Amino acid sequence: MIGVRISRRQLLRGTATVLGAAAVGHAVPAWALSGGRAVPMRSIGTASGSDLAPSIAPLAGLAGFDDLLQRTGAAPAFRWTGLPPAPGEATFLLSGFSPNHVSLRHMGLVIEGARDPTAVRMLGLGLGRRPAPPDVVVEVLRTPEGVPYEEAFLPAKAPDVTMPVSLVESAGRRLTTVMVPILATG
Amino acid sequence: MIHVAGNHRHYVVQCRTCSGGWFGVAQFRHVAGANTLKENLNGVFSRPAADLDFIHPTKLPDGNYAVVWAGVAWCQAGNCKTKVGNCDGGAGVSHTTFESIYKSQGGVVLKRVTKEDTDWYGRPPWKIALSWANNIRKPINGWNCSKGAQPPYSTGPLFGGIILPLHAATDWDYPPIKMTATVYGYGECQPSFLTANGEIFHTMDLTLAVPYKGRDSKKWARNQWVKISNRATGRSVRARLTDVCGCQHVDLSRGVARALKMAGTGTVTVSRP
Repeated sequence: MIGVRISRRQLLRGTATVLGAAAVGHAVPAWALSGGRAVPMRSIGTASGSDLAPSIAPLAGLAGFDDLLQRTGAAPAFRWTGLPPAPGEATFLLSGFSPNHVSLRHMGLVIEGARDPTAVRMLGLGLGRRPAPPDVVVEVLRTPEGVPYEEAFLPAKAPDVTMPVSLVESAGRRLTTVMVPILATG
Repeated sequence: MIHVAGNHRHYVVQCRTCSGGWFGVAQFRHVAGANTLKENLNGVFSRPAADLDFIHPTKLPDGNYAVVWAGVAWCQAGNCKTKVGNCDGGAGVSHTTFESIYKSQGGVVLKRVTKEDTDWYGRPPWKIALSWANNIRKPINGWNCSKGAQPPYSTGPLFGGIILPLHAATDWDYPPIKMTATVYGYGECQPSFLTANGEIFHTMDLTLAVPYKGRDSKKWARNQWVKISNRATGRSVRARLTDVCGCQHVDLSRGVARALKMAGTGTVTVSRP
């Protein structure tokens, strides 16, 4: 993909922006891992580390990026290996875990792979769906003299879609689960 | 296309919508204010490759709130390079984009919010500036609806972007709190240019990022107006919470930092707007 022309707007629209809070699980029933739809996965960046426990951190926000690199041990050695998040992708930092397959199952998004305490990876996951743009609200207000005027805006509280994302070893042991709200950004 | 409609009691600046109708973007007591906005909008719309998503509110160095176009333009040759994640010039990956972000060509003050405007609307100037920006953004939604600002390739899937109004915001309602503040890097240096509330990051807009975890998460909910004051410079500005960070300080847009005359790290007070 390197060298492909992209526009910033193409880059942005439909991009799934993520927030999350961690929760730890354990064994995953076999039925929960069966079936499901494969989710495209690609590397966006990587950094080396040591003694890293398996964890997953969604990108919290634009401003949080540098902090996230620090917390996951990826900074300052982080190197970009691919294009930034594309429309329809969710982005995570995987610490201490090497992914080899991602699928969307009824238990949520499952990232299968093996422990790797020596690397932090930024991963783009193609969720394959673009949330609809939020509806524009047009409200009629009045000046103190009673003259009506319109005001357009996006609602302050747009609903977020929440999805659990799990790291699962090949043997079926769930290492961690993160609840990830995915913002509808168009 | 912009025109002014008026009945000598007040004047309305209207923008043509994609469907052919007109949408009133701002009202003025006197025709001079309406003409200023009209002429400036027509000027921006006629600029080749103007990126109209960068129409947003800001606070000018003279202390006035205003709606501006930040001077962001599409790269007409189609060969502009953006270094993603390595704005310090380190070894990284350069990507070709169609935009030249914050070129030195400068922006355009579309309309300052004056005392006359605050009297007319009965609202504080920062809310009027946001309202004007949103009302302008609504009818120009989409490059496919050309307003005269031609991107280099006006058709095709690359330019199917949409321009949405920004989010409404409620007033922050907590006791004042003193915090450390830092200033955002340019959005282009980051892997994603969307803030946590889903908006495209506009460097000179009046926005900030706040901590999002812990017991104060409700206090720092997205889309609230706050007043940011810097005692060292004696300046203050109203801004919207649009983004989050995993930190325990606030991260200010360059628009906020400029209004505060703050460079680098400092101490600010966050209070009710």
